[in-house]
Order: sequence, then structure tokens, then C-alpha cells
Amino acid sequence: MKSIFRLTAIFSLLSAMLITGCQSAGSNGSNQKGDTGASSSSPAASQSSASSQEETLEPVKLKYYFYGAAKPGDEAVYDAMNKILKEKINTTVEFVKIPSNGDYTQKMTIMVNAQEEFDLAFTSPSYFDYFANAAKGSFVDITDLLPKYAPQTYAQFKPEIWNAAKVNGKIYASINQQIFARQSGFVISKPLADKYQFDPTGVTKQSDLLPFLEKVKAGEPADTTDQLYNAQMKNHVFSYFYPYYEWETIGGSDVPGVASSVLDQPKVFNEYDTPEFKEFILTNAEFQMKGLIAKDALTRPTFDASKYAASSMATLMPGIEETVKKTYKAEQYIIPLGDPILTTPNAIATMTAVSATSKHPERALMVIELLNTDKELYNLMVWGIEGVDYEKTGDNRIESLSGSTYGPAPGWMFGNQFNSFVSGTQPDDVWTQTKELNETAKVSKLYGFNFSPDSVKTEIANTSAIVNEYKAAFNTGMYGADTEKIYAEFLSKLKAAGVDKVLQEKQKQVDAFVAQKQ
Amino acid sequence: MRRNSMQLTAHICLIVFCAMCLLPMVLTISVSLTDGQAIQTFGYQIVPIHFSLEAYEYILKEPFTLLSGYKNSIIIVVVGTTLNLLITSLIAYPLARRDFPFRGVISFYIFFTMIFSGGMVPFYILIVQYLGWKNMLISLIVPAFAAPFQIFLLRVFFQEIPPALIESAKIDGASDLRTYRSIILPLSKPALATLALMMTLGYWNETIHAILFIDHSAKYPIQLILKNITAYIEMMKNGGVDPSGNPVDPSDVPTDAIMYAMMVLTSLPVMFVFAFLQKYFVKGMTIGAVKG
Repeated sequence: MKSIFRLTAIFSLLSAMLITGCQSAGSNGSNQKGDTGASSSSPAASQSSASSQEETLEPVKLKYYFYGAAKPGDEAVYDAMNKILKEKINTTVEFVKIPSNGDYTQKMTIMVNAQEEFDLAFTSPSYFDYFANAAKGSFVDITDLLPKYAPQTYAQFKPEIWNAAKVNGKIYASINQQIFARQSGFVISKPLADKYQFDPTGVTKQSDLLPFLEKVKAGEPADTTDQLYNAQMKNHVFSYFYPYYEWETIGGSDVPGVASSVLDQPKVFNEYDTPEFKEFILTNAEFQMKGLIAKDALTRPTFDASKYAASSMATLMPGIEETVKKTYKAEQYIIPLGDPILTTPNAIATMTAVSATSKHPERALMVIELLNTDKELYNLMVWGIEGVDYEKTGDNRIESLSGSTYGPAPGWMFGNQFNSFVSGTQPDDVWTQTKELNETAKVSKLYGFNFSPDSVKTEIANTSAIVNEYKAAFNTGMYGADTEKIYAEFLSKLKAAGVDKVLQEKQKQVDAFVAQKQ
Repeated sequence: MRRNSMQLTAHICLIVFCAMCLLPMVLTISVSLTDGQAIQTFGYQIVPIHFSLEAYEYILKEPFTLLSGYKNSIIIVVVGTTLNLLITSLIAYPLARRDFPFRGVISFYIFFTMIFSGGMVPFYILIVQYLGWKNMLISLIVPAFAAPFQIFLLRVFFQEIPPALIESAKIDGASDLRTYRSIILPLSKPALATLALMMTLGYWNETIHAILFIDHSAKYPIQLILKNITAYIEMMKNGGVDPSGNPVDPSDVPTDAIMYAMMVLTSLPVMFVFAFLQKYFVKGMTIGAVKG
């Protein structure tokens, strides 16, 4: 009796292991099948629908996933959008919102692995990872379909811009039109600068702010000067200055190794082992020791934005003056650093992809086309229904109504933001200005280059963990007089964690990219 | 004298421990009652500096979402806990009987699932593609059924019931099912209450399955409503400007207070249940402690 039990036990254990083994192999297999199936079936599908397009389109239902907070008014807005979509391309779209970006990534990853059918999805390098999913065949290759079914969307960007979205030479997602060029800078409180006769135009680095902040510290009552400089301890503040130094991050801002982006032969180097970084942390330490950065910056839960006299900003966009005026509750001088520059990470920051499991990829592209070209449809999605969620106060200007039960829906998440109404403090010509900024920006030599981290994954994880460990304290100057000692320790830890290997790999890939371009 | 000082130390330790458990809760409640501006200037305070119900007003202004969250979660908890308790105890009872022939094999089979699992993706495929339960509350109820740990917990408790009782019921002519219903279940109230509490908490706090299986906001359980509101508030807080460039003044809206008020509102019902089941819970803690 006992031996029979033992046998069955062993047998069931073995079979269970076999089943698990089969499952993973099976899902891999079906993944690839789905990929080739989609790419081989799409030309056929496109042909059939191209011939039928002149006639009538059969009714189709699509599913579109993105993230954001669901609101009670969503359904009414989606109904209104579907009315337009139904009329124009006989399509009904089910819009599905997932509350937070982290959950979105997780859910979409599982859905893709489970080969679930859906049609459109928001994708970006940070959420629902574009590169990984494009490479593993989660998205339809739209290199040929895009010009055919979304011609105006395709035409709104120069071919070089599309290069940024290419993975293995193919486009897997439509880029959303928004601000691409990046310029960073400082904002300085106007009332304080005027009062202490400080000329902000000469500021090119953080230490230039020192005399001004010291005067404010001495001149103003103590209870308003405990947090004069906005240290933004959680952010990677040092990377704000890269456009000024003409550096470009490669594969994430906390992974060591940047390249000078305008040289013909970009050289990868460790950005932390530079005089610029040393000066950055020493300045922070000096600020901290002189009481210009909040003493409890690391532990304080919230800060009073109106107390800041100066702050660095990652992205200056048209209309920023009014935005920061509202945030800091006073007029601000905006001091840009260097020229605006166009880099890959910024161009493909937000995209819309067609899922490989979609039965109607050509129709999904038509929806993308309409979101990019139909102003009414786009503004419904971003702002809601006129009279319910917003009211028009000018030709192209609107104001949100207080009783609105829709939104906020971020305009950069879908379609063409240049079609958006302007609102609040944005200047009327904000989109013309943005467009101009995009077009006049210096294009990085590395534009279109995407780093693949696979071969140095461990080193990347280790080094970025070290960067993150020290980041907040460096940003707020918490090491004070010990900063130089700790900085040396930081560098040697990075070395031990394999930073050189990461740099070498980056350089190798950069060289290969530059070589294939020439 | 020595006993006194021992007692004193014990009390001090317990008081400190109690404070460690209570303080975060008190802080949560008091932050939820503080004025948004006051949080910005003074930080989190145990005693609210500027008392205000603004945060609750803000949430209850749109009761639609909160109420539907409560409704969905209560359905899940009530239906789920009842059925789950029934199924779990029906599995545990035969396993506890010494005269049940295959209990070794079945126990091993159940135990096996505790160690190995199919993983997230096959699970998702099963629920969504084979069973077609997407957007249905049942997808949040059934997967929690018959958890191995709970089965074994209950089995141990059932084994403590003297076999003589079962035999006497048998002599009186009771069927197995009747014995289970009239003898075993009433005697196991503490264990069942403990399990019910564990299941209630599990169902109430279910988030990850809800994210995977529920697409429609009308079907969101309370935890997703909490996530939804948090996401909305994060959006307003970040940089004081929503991503379309429309400025939102963070101090106009008591963002932190709302987040804490939501936490209070989502955990209140569970605290209530806990208070109800607590007397059983204390007894239930000793499950399996003494083997008779």
C-alpha cells in the first residue's frame, strides 16, 4: 500500500514538472507563432481592406488600453468619441484605463504573454516597455502599414524622427506628436531677484546662484528662508544639465555612461567621474552648509513651493513662465541653459502601438490617424464634452468647468498634441512655438540610437543601485564637509560594481551605430 | 517585589508595542482630518493643527465611485467568504478523519500546490480565455477558494475533536454529512471565525487580480478605487501641472489629506468585522497549539 502511494506521489511530481516545462515552451512557441502570423497575415488583411475601403467598411470593434485615473464621466465622453469613429470609419473603440502606470505595465505584460486579443495600447520606453515588446513580437510591424493607413500621421514627422522608433529597422509604434526638443534651465524668483538687485541673465551654473541666495538668506526673515534652493532630492537633478554640457544619457538616466551627443565620434564616459559632477555635489554641500537647502530635506514629507527662491528645471517648454508662476506663487525669471537638443529618448517618450494579437491592424491604424488629424475627436479625448467638462472662452481656448467628471487626460498620451485646445496659462501660440522648437533643435549625432542592455544587465543593476543610494544625499548636500571623501568612496564603489564594463559595452554599441550610419 | 518589576517591564514592552501599532493608525486618521495647507507648512502632525473635513467632502462629492467600490467589495467578501469557508471545511473534514482511505495522497496533492504554482500567465489564460471571466467579480472570488494553508489549519483543528463524538453520532444514525453539519461545524466556530476573518481580509485587500481581470471602472473593488484616486492625485501633485500643461494648484486640493482619508475609508469596514470576530479570534489563535 505504502509503496503505491510513493509511486503515485513521484509520478504526479514528475508529471507536474513536465507540464510546467511544456507550458513555458508552449507559450514561447505560440508567441513566435503570433508574431509571424501577424506579419504574414497583415499584408493580406491590408489588401483585402484596401480594396473594400472605397466601398464600405464592415463594422469593427477595437480595444484600446492606456493608463490614467477612471472618472464617472468617462463613458459619456467615449460614447461621443465612438459616434465620430462610427461615422467616419465604422469602428467602435472600447477605451480601457488602468489606474497607475506601474500596474499598467504589469497588466499589459501578462496580457501580451497570454496572447490576449486587443488592438491599441500606449507604450513608451518606461511603461509597457516599447523596445522589449517590439523585439519580442508583441506589436505589429507598421513600417509599411503606417504610410498606407495613416498617411497624414506618417507625414507629420520627418523620416529621421521615425528612425528613433525603429527596432531592428522596423517601426512598431506610432509616435505621438508633442514636445521633443529638450532644454533645461533655472527658474529664479523675480520679486526676490529684483529686491536684491541680482541679474539672473548671467547664470550658467548652480554656483552662480550663491551670492543671490546668500543675500536673500541674510535679508529675509528666518522663517521664510529655510528652503531657498529647490534641491529636488528624489530626481536625477544632475542630468538636467546634460543638454547644456551637450551630453546624452544612454539607456536610462541612472545607468552610468553618457556620450557627448554632438561630436562626430561620440565618446562614452562616466558622467560621475567628471569635474562637472564634482562641482555639482560640492556646490550642493556648500548650499547645505550655508542653510540654503532645507536641513531636513531628506525626511520632510512636503515642501512649501512658495518659499523657493531658485530651482533647476529639467524641461523648459513654451508657456513655462505662467506654469512656474502658479507653482511657485510668484513671477519667475526663466534662465535657459545652452541650445535645445533633439534626442531619441525624448522623441519616443510616448507612442501608440498596434498589438500583434489584433485582428484588424489596419483599422487600428485608421483610429491612430483620426486621433492625429481629427481635432474634434482628439479634444474630446483630452478635454471631454463641451458645456459639460469645459467651456470655450476663445476660438481655440477653453477653460475646464468645475463640475467636470472627466479627466485629467494627458494630451501627450494619444495622437497629436498640436491639435489640442489651449487652456489656463498656456499662450495662444503654444503649439506653434513647440513645433518651432522641435524643428530648430540641434539633432544629436546619436539620434535614432537605442542601447540594448542585455549583455551587461547585472552591472547595470549594481551600478544604478549605487547611484540611487547616493543620489538624494548628493542632491541635498547632506554630506557637508565630508563630501569629497564620500565622493571618492562613491567612485570606487561604482568601479567595483563594474562601471567600466557598462561603459565599454555602451561605447561598442555607439561605435557600431555610428559606423552603420556612414 | 521581583514579580512586580517583571510585570512592570512586561507592561512597558507591551505599551511600547501597542503604541507602535496604534500610532500609524492615529496618524492616518489625523492627517485625513487636517487642512491641506497646514500639511504643506507643518508636515504630518499627530494632533491636527487646522481641523478640516475638506478631504472627506472632496471624496464624498463624487460618491458614485466610492459606493460602487464598497458594493463590489462587499459582494466579493460575502459571497467569497461563505462559499470559500464551506468548500475549505468540506475538504478539511474528510482529511481529518482517520478512516478516510486516500487522505495521504490527497493531502500531498493539496500540499504540492502550496509549493509549485503554474505562474501568472497560465493563471491569466485560464481565467480569461478558458473561463471567460474577464470583468466579472467571480474572477476575484473563485481563485481564492481552497487555499492549502487554510485547509491544513482547519484539518488540525478538526483532528482535535475527539473521534468518540463522531462515533456516537454514527451510532445514533447520523450520516457523514449530518455529522459534519451538526457536530463538527458548531464545535469549530473559533477556527471557522478565524478563517472567515483571514478570507475577508484577503478578499477585501485583493488588488493584483483585480488589476488583471477588471477593466471597467464600474466593477472596481474598493482597493482599485483607492488606487484610482491615488493615481488621480499623484497626477495633480506632480509639478503642479497636469501633463497637458493645464496648471493645477496643489494647495487648492488637499492632496495628502485625501489620500489618507481614502485609507481610512477603505480600512474602516474591515476594522468593524475584526471587532465582531475578535472574541473567536483569540480562541482561534491557539489552534493546533495543544494536541489532544
